[in-house]
Amino acid sequence: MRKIAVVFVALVIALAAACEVLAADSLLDKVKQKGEMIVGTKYDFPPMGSINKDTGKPEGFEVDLANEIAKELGVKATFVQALSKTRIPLIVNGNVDLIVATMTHKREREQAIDFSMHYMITGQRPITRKDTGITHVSQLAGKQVAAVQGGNAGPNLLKVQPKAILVQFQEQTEALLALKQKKVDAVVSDDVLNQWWVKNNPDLVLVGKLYTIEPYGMGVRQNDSKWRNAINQALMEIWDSGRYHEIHFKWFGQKPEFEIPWYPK
Amino acid sequence: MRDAILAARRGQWFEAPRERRAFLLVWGGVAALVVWYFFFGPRAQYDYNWRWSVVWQYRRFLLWGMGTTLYIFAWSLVASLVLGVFCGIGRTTNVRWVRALSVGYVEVFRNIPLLVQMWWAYFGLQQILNATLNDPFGLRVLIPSTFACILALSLYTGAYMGEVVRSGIRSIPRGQWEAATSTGLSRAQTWRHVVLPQALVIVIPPLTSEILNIIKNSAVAMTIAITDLMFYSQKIEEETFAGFEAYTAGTLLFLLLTLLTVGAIYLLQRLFGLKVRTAG
Amino acid sequence: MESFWKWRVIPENLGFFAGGFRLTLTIFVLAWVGCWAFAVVFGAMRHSSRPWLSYPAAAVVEIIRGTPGLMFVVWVYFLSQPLIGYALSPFWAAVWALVIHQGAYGAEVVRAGLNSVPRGQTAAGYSTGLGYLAVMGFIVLPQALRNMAPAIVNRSVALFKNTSLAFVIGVIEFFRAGTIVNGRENASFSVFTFLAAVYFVCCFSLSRLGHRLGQRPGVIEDTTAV
Repeated sequence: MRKIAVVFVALVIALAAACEVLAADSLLDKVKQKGEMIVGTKYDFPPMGSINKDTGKPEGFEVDLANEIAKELGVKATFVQALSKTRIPLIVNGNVDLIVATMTHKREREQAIDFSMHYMITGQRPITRKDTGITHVSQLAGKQVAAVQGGNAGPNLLKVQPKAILVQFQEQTEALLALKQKKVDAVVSDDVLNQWWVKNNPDLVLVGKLYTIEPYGMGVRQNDSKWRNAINQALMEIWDSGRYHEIHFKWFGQKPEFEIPWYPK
Repeated sequence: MRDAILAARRGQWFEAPRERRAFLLVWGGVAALVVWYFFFGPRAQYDYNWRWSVVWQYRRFLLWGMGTTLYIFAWSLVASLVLGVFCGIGRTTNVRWVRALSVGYVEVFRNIPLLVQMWWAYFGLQQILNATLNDPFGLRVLIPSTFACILALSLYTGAYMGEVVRSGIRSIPRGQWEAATSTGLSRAQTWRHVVLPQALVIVIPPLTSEILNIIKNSAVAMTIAITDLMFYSQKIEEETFAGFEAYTAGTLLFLLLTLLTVGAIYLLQRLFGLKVRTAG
Repeated sequence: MESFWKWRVIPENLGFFAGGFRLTLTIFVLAWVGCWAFAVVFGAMRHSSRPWLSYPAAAVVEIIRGTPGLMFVVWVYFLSQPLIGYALSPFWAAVWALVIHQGAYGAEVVRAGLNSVPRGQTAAGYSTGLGYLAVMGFIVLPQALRNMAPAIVNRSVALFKNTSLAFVIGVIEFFRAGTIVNGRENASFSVFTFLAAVYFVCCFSLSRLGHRLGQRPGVIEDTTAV
């Protein structure tokens, strides 16, 4: 009887101690206290986020950007995979502190999370094999098109071509594999990835022009302005110091044609 | 023996005051911990507005998901039962190569995870087809994802069912065989009319749990682009950001499917006038 | 033909595969320990003749056993913060999910094992004045373990196979390493055959051990497919 009581009291004290860490209000304080920021990035989306084949660690434009932001805040960044369909739940449920995962800033997504300022703009269009002979989105009627579950590539395609048949995979790599194995006739995804794929796969070709605008924003928890402001300010510091341009050049081979919506101090 | 003890207690909950104290301490402590954690502890600071109405709003997603899961379940059930029976017979036969084949089948398919088998069936087989049929001859034979899923699931569950059927066959006394032969039945007839009916009835409990496992294992189909119940639970979460409610709905529906299957098997046993056996 | 079947992909990426396999082993070992701890507690509760212990334990075990493993992994990862106020990393979420899910199946094995020991032994133990823990630890469990051994091995094989489910939440274990390499190289046949072969070798050797332990009278069977 006494032993059980002792164990019980010890448990309560341990839990109370755990509360101390989580009692901070803004994520900024909590992250600074822990010295670590958990970032969700893509693992299947070169050049933004992918797994390096030798080190097994994530690398990419977004990974470097997240590391720079962590440096600005004085903490370390730990990476976790964020799939298109798990990005928002990860933030909402508190599994990660920041999402830098090719997430388009959409008005409907603002119901669940908040966005930082845009750090890149791209668009979407289909990509297909040379042998399908598809040159325009209208030719996708009745054809099987792969997309990733949870992203807005699939829904956007259906808006432009309602007769396409969507096949939804968990990751971009599987969609590409299905395209190469001729299970699907096209894949829709963001142009950043399309350009990479076309560069590395001579048998793939882009279809038509971009039909959407996708401004990427970093995802943060809702109603935490302190944290969101810290991220925005870190991003602007990175832009001002030229590190953004270095990273962009490293991954895209050219200077950015895009300007972040910067504002003065 | 435990039933005897329970009966001897004559429905009493506690044998002694000491037991009542232990009960209150254990479950009271658990309840207090849960209440504290949810209302005063770290969990309380997390703001989560519960929106159970989304489950009703998105019921058509859940229905579509259940439909696909049932479709996969039906086909896999038939295929794995057939495979299982043949495998079980093969394991107990005297023909050397048939037995070796059955043992090989069971060992290979029980020791490879279902995920690997499904992805192999979907991507690996396609590559073989491309190499042998499609590219050389310009054909376009595709493996649809439901086919790959059913194939993998049937082969996987068939291996387990083979073991179950084998244990059922082995429990039939040799006397039955000898009696059957002495009345002039051929080997095939003995299998069909004497041994198999009894063996399959004996192993209904473990067979039931294997059948339920088909339903549960089919959840991994979502990873190869099949829009089953698991996929749609996540789709509801995507659209409404109500994760807890969506997953609870999905889990409850899986449990419902298992309950319905158990009920169906029970009814079938009553229908055929068999003594009802429930899974332990 | 070599360029089509692409067997060279395996040796080229062996380091990556090895890293994934190491993670699979780590998850397996941690989950194994936790799984059997859970199983012993809940199995003993199920076996007990006190209804206020056995019925709640039965309810918990049956509900967990009725849920698909994949759903459980996703549950534990995403709902760890709302439910327990602490966000688990993918690795630990996978470990805990496997502990609870496979532990429920293990609880059934433990219960069957405890049932296989004749009640007279427990009665004799109590009559010589030993307490509950002593009776369990010195008399019942050693005999039960001998009977349960093949079933424990079967469960462990199932646990090893189920570590592959961790891939949906982003843990780069062996299966995920395979899919990443496959995505890069488009060599599905060779990669998945390699994955299958490695899993087969590991699980088969484990199950051979179980088969050898099972060649005695009184052992219990546990060959469920999850």
